[in-house]
Amino acid sequence: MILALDTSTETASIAIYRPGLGVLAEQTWLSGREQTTQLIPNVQRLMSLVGIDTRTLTGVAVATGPGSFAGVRIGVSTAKTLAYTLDLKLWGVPSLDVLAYPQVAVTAVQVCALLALGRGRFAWALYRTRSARWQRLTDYANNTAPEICETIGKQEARLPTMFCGEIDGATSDVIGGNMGNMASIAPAAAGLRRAGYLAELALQRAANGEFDDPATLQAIYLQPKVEA
Amino acid sequence: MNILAIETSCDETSVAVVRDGRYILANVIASQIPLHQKYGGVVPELASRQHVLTIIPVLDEALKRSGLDWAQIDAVAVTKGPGLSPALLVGLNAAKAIAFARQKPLLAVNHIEGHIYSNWLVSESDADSGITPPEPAFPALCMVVSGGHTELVLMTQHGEYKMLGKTIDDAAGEAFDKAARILGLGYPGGPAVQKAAESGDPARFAFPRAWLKGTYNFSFSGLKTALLRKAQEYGIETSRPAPWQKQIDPEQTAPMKESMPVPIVQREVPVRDLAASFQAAVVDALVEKTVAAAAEYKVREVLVAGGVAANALLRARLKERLAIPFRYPPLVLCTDNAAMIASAGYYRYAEVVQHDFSLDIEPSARFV
Ligand SMILES: [Zn+2]
Repeated sequence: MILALDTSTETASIAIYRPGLGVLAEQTWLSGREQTTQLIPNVQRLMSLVGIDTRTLTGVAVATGPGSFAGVRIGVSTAKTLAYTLDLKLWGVPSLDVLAYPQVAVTAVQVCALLALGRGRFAWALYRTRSARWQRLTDYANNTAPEICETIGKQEARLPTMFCGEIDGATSDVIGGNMGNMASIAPAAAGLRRAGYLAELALQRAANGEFDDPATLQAIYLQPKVEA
Repeated sequence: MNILAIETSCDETSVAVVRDGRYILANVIASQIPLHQKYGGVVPELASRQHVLTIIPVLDEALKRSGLDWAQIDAVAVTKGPGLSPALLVGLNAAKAIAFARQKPLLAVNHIEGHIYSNWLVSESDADSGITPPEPAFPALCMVVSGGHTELVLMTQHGEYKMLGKTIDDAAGEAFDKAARILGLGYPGGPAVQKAAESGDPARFAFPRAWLKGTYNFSFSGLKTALLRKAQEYGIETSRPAPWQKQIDPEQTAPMKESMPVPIVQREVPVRDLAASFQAAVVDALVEKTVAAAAEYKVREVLVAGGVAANALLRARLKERLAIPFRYPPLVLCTDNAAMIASAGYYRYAEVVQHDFSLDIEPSARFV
């Protein structure tokens, strides 16, 4: 049984996933700055809902960011300690991948996943299905909405782009103004990072024999330099 | 009872296992000093990133050194504050994860109270020689002197405290850090000033002592200004405060470290004499107030705790002036460590045990 945790923005998501079967329970909610106080109590509640305890777990998947520094660290600290303490398999999965994965599966256009970092900045990356495999086309980056549209506009192949993620009305207007009918916006409910998908991405890594080490798993911060 | 404790309030990642509040089975401390040295102080964001990386190796090492398995751990204690929020978050979420995973009681400990309880721990040398010193006797006078705290606290029982006095501006450890910065002695400031002062003349400069008569309060900002003026008279170029300094929780900026090589050159500027005279002024204030409070409240013991408790002059002067026993932890337990958190968790168990997992950090936690 896989426990999946994502606290990389003010929206948190947790899921219990049985490999081969699917999501047994999933919860996504606006946790704000209460992730520390709410994460374990809600995991506890979700586990009792499906009638399992920590001894049933075999692995833990966690969103490693980008996102809010504090939020990402809450998830990563919790997940790696659970993995170490219970001797579970551990997978870190970038938050933008969790956002893009369900969209890429159902659309032929390219997908731009966005996470609001505050002060008008977004973490983002482009994704697309190629030869029946979904893949990330760009590095995780940190830009303003106009900068993102400009970068996409410079692509060699002019492809329609679907934006998904934490997109408010103002950002949606900026995207429309810059890209016109080359852009579409996924419905708000499709812009949630859902931990069930996080678990599936972790299991894809497991199928390739990929695991993370609790001693070395680090968050993705996107601003590697701390200015002194 | 075996308590596993985690402390990440500032720039040390520490995990300890302590039996019955006194016997250290393991106390692993990963210091981040080299990481912060070039900034002259602790950068909270850097500290937190490092805690995320270090927490599991330190936990693993502590558990192995303790020789215990999870079934033999009876509770998990963690520092809830005061401290740097991003740093506290890592330890607190890790502790919660352990308590949840292994179904152990979770204990939320105040960092400053932890420093006081470092005096309950049996030092390694005592443990090696098979001696168990008696527990401190109440009423006790606790002097907590660290980078952000300079407090005189009367302790009449476990968990029963009366604040007698505290600093009204800079903490003693903070004053040492600022002095080291003025004199160009490096970071951390406490050991650097002490080292420079060793061969200096403490009587050369008559720096002011703010006695604040009729109270047990302290003030060190005037002393710092006097040092700055005197240093400038000698043409010392004083470095500007770093731009990030506002971010730093003053409680945490000046943990005293055991030793740190500092270049000391007695040029025309009498750095050693300035350091010695400055240190003498800080220690004078601490000692006079402690001696007076010990007499007024007829305490049976004086307990010194916190980073500045590592200062040799402070220890020597207290020994001269106090007629009653006083104790201070060995150097390794003066600075931040998880063993002291385990000890406080043990003695304050009933009050600090959590009944669910909704615990949050308290960056400005008070304990009196
Ligand atoms: Zn401390």
